Amino acid sequence: MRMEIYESGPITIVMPYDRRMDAACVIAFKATMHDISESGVRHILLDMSRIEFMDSSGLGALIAVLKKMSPDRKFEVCGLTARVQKVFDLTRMDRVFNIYKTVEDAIPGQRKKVGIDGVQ
Amino acid sequence: MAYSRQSATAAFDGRPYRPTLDLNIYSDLQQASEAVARVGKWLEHEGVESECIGDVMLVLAEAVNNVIEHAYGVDTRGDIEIKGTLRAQTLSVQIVDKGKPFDGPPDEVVLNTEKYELSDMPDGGFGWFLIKSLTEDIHFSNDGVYNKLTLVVALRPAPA
Repeated sequence: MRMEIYESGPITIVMPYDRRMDAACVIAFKATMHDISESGVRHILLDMSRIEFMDSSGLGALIAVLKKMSPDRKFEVCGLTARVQKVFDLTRMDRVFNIYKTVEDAIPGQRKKVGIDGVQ
Repeated sequence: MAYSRQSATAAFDGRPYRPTLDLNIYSDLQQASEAVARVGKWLEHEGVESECIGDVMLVLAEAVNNVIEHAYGVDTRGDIEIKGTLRAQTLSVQIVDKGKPFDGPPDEVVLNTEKYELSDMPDGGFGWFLIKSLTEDIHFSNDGVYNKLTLVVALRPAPA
């Protein structure tokens, strides 16, 4: 799975290039995320702005990463497209993940969380 | 792939025309992913609203992944037929396989994600919950050879 990985201060930002996060690519996604998390990073932000479709396998992979990173490290997501957001909403995972509208919104100091608290 | 189309609005204006799409794939996750994307493109072409297309793609992906993982199992390859039929404001999509007989959809799927601590949160088991959440109707039959699952999803036309 092709991903762009870059740093912004203490945050490692990961942006998959694929348009689908589904059962066909979750093994590759999990392997890449495993390598990144094992490299000692403290805070990963997954930029999902290019992902147009995600199924429950994709969501399961995100939950697995979140569990692996918690409780001492952070894994957050941003840039959810409408169809991806709907999967989070239906499964109530919008209450479990920290979700930001954009990468910029997720940077400490200018944080604007998109979630049930309605803070924009 | 058989593909038919008359007009982008035919599914919504009450004419008897029923566009259909037939796809035949092997029980392979990559082929399934491409088939789901093809169905999405087809519905876009037929003038279906974007959120509804996403709903169809999601229920289809979940159902086909179930066939691959459970009916055939990851070590077995078999055929899967996907047949979509656009009706008046609904899409009926039938998934047919010759894998292990399936008991049919669960009667009720409750998702209690709120009750879990993160460390105990399941990272699977959402498939049938999503299918049941996004379908109007579900039919299932097994005649001793074929599993036939039909999912009916409500559609809206794309804004003009």
